[in-house]
Order: sequence, then structure tokens, then C-alpha cells
Amino acid sequence: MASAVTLRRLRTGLGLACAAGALTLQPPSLAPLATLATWLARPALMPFAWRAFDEARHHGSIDEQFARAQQVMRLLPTWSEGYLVFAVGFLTARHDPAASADERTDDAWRRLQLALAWLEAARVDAGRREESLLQSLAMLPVAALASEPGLAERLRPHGGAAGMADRYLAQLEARFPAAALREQRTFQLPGVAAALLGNGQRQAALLVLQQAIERSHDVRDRLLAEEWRQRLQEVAAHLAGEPQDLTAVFADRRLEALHPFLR
Amino acid sequence: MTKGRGPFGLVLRRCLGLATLPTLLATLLAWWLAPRSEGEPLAAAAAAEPWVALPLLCAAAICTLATAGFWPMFAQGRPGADMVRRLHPRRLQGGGRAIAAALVAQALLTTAVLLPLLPAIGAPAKANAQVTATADRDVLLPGDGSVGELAFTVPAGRTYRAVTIRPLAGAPADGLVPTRLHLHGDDGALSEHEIAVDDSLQVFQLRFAPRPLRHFRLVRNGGTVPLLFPPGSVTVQLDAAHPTWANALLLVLVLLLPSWLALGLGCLCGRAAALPTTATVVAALLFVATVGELGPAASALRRVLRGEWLLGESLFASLTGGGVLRTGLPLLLVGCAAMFVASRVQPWRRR
Repeated sequence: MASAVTLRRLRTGLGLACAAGALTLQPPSLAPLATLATWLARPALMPFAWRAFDEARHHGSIDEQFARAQQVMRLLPTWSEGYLVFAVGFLTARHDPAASADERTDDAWRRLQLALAWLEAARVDAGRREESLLQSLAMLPVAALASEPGLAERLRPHGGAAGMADRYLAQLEARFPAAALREQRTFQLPGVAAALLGNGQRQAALLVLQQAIERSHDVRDRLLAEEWRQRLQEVAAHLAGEPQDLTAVFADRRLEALHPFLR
Repeated sequence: MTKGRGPFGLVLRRCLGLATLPTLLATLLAWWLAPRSEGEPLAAAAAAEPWVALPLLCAAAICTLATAGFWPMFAQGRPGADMVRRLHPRRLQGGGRAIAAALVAQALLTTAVLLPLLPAIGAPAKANAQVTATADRDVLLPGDGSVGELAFTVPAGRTYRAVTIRPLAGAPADGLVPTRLHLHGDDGALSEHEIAVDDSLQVFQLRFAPRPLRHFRLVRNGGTVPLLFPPGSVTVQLDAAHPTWANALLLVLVLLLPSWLALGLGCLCGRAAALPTTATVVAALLFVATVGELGPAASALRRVLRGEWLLGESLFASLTGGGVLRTGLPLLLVGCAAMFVASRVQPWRRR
């Protein structure tokens, strides 16, 4: 009888020790529970969230629209394109007509920071969807600059819009390697070089151009690769101080960002 | 009957006793969950509406359901009904005073919730009044330039300080060139700034020195994007700011309307139905009138969070447009009608 009680106590003790060990080695996470709760609540909450977002579009401020969009995306985190749609809408919304140029730039910079932070936060548990989010992140600085040209000065210390986009594309290329992605980045590198030139970093710009020339060997369309490499070599040589005929470079709209630094 | 032991005092104590703690907990939950800016400000207190609505709905639901469950005349076959009938031989048998107590309890709780919660979630400190401008004739500015301007009218005798427009944009007539607009008053340009519209629902606010206004025009100054100005797309801000606490007190009154409707119809329902049926009717009506936005409660809450004064429109405009009175009056009247019918109908007795 006594031995049976001892055995039961031993079993209980062992069970508790194993449970404590399991909890220590693999602490429970509330994230799956939160995901399940979101999944269960979504059918009930989505109609209200969409209606509130639509109402904000008609009567609310742009900040409210963005906050409502974030609420929608909290319920629909797998809709990767939604992040881009709402973030670009937030970035390209019109400004107060009475605002000064500085105020407009400040506002555009604030919006860009908020949009980037939102997408960066979404990356944390995005899994495979991170690819789409990185693509979207790469587009945001360019979209913001197109909407508010005054932002160029503010972006310059960060490598310009092209430089910021390139950082996200580099991460994308490292995490999700694909030929199309590699080529996309190859053709965007002149924009990065232009941003560096605008910042007075000539040597860095030449390094980026050299990188673009090397990467052009991987472009699948050989004819296009050859022509692209030729243009880049002309630009690099010109920047290095060698006299070049830049007629073809100035005729190439893909290198438009570099034109002001070649005259 | 001893003072404070009548229907009003009993129901008020019951409602406050039951609803205070849950409402307080819901308020703390709302304050904790409501999105707030960290670092860079994101002035969007209106986006916190679902969280602010939580304690308000909690107070309304508990007060109405507690009243329906507590006062015996809200349902058939409730214990104590015979005694209440002897003590209150009038037509509603204390039902009217019970409803008044429930509304007072809800008003006290919602006031106590709103006054600290609104500043805590970053609602604007001042509420600005605004009115909707009415188009005189056309509401469409074609992209081909065949119409050069649109005229609008606002109520006379008030001082205005800004015009906000949010037009719908159509497909451009010939190449996308944003349509540029100037704002002109009765005697020349109101604002020196020009706006350029190229997409739907872009919002622009043109400010000017406070001045009386009766008519103003939006003058097209080139561009190819046709613009449509449906009702409500052009609003004019008055030069009058009111404290948010006053706006919150108005909101408290508006929030009583769904409860009034639910308890009025619940009182009528209780003449023939048992408590589960009455409670279901009360809960369903309250849900539809608040979450379902049948009535002005949800839109009034949004307007308060956006810093819009609830009594901005004139009485007539509020009744004919989409103001608080227009959407709130039917709820008030249906509740009154239900109470009137309940006072005329004898409780149905099962044989």
C-alpha cells in the first residue's frame, strides 16, 4: 500500500518535472492563439471594418483612413497586396494646399516613415509572404518621391529613393533568389548610383556602377545585356575622367537619373 | 412609499450596481487596446471608435437588460408583479420611471467613461462646427471645360473660416491633367491657394480669414479631370470651436436613444411575453441601433472623435439632411409610440 502511494507520488513528481522542463525548453507562445482568435473573429468583424474604412474615405482624414486600413489588414494579414495598396494610397494623398514646401516635405517624410514601419512590422511573422512585402517596401520610397518631389533632399542621406529601394531589393534577392528579381535590381542600380552622386559620393557611385556592369552578365536577354553593359561602361568611364561620347547614354531613358551628373 | 424605494430609485441602484464594474473594466480594456501614436503622431482618434464604443455598449446593454430583468412589469409571470401592480396602479405600473432610471444610470456611466477616455485616446480638444454646402444648380465640372464654375450656398448669418471639398473624379477627357480649382466668394477670391484634383475622394481644405458668407464658387482653372460634387462632398467650417466635454455630453444624450427604443419596445413586449422574449427583443434592438448603425449613435461617436461639433447644422438642415436629428428622431418617436401603446394595453393573461 505504502509503495503504491510512493509510486503515485513519484509519477506525479516526474510528470510535473517533465512539464516544467517542457515549458522551459519550449515556452508557449500566444501568437498561434491570437491567430486563431483573429481567424474566428474575422467573419464577424470584417464587414464592420470595411464599412468603417469606406466611411473614413468619404468623411475622415487621410490619417484616419490609414489607421482604418491597418485595422482591416490586422484581420486579413495574408492579403499581401493590401499592404501596398493602402500604403501607397497613404503616401500619395494630396497635401494641404496652404502648406509651405517645408511642411509638405515634413508631412511626406512622416507618412513614408509610418508606411515603412507598418510594412516592416508585418514582415516579422509573414513567412513566405515576406517576398511580397519586401517588393512593396522597395516601391514605397519611389512612390513617395514621385508624389512629393521635395522629399529628394530628405532622402539623400539615406541613399535616395533608389538607394532605399535597393536595400530592400538586396534583402529580397538574398532571401528569395530568382533570376527575374536579380535582373530587376540590376536595372535599378543606376538610380542608386545617381543618388550617391547627388550626395557627393563619386567613388561609391562608381562601385555601384561596376557592380551593375558585372551583374549585367546574368541578364538572360544577351542582346539587351550587351547594350546595357556598353551604356554603363560609357557612364563609368566618363565619371572616371575619360572623355566619352555620351549621345547614346543621353538617348537612353533608363539612365535618366544619371543625366544631370554627366553634363 | 419610502423615498428612494420607488421604481426610479430601485432601478437606478440596480443598474449602477450591476453596470459600474463591467463598464470600468471595459473602459480600461478600451484604453489599453485603443491605437495610440508612439513617436510620430498619427492623428486618427476616430480610428479608435470600436474600442471607445466597447464600454459605451457595455453600459447600455447592462442597464437595459438589468431593467428588463429587474422590474417585474417588463415581462409576464415575474415574481413581485402583483405587489407592484397594487403599489403602482397607474397604466405603466412604474415602467416609465424604471426606464427613466435606466437612462439616467446609463447617462451617468457614459459621462464618466467619455470625459476621461476622450482625451486619453487623443481626441481633439476642441470641436469645430461645420455645415454642408448645397450646390445651386450643377454638381458636375466636366473635363472639357464647358462649365467653368460651380456655385454653392451656405446658411446665412454665420461666420465661416474654411471650405473642405472631397469630390469624385471621372476619367479625364484628353490626357490626365489634374483639374485646378480656385475658391471665390461673393466679392473675389476667398483663398489665394489653388488645388489640383486628379483622383476621387481626395480631401482639400481651403482656409480663409473668418467672414460671413452666403454664396461661394469653385472656379475651374484648367485640367482635364471631370469632377462630381455629390451632396455632402463640400462642407464649410464655422468660426466657432466648442470644448470636447460639451460635445461628449451631447453624445451622451444621443447614446440614450437606442436604449430608449429598446426599453420602450421591451415594455410593450412585456405586456404579453415572458422574460426571455423581452430580453431578446431588448438586446436585438440595442444591437441593431448601435452596432448596426440604425440611428445616430455610431456616427455621432465618430464625429466627436473627429472633433466635429454635433450641433453644427441648423435644426432644419439636421432634420432634412443626414444630421443627428434626422436619424435620431425616428428612434425617439418609435420609443414614445411603444410606451403610449404599452400604457393603453392591458397585460395579456394566460388562462
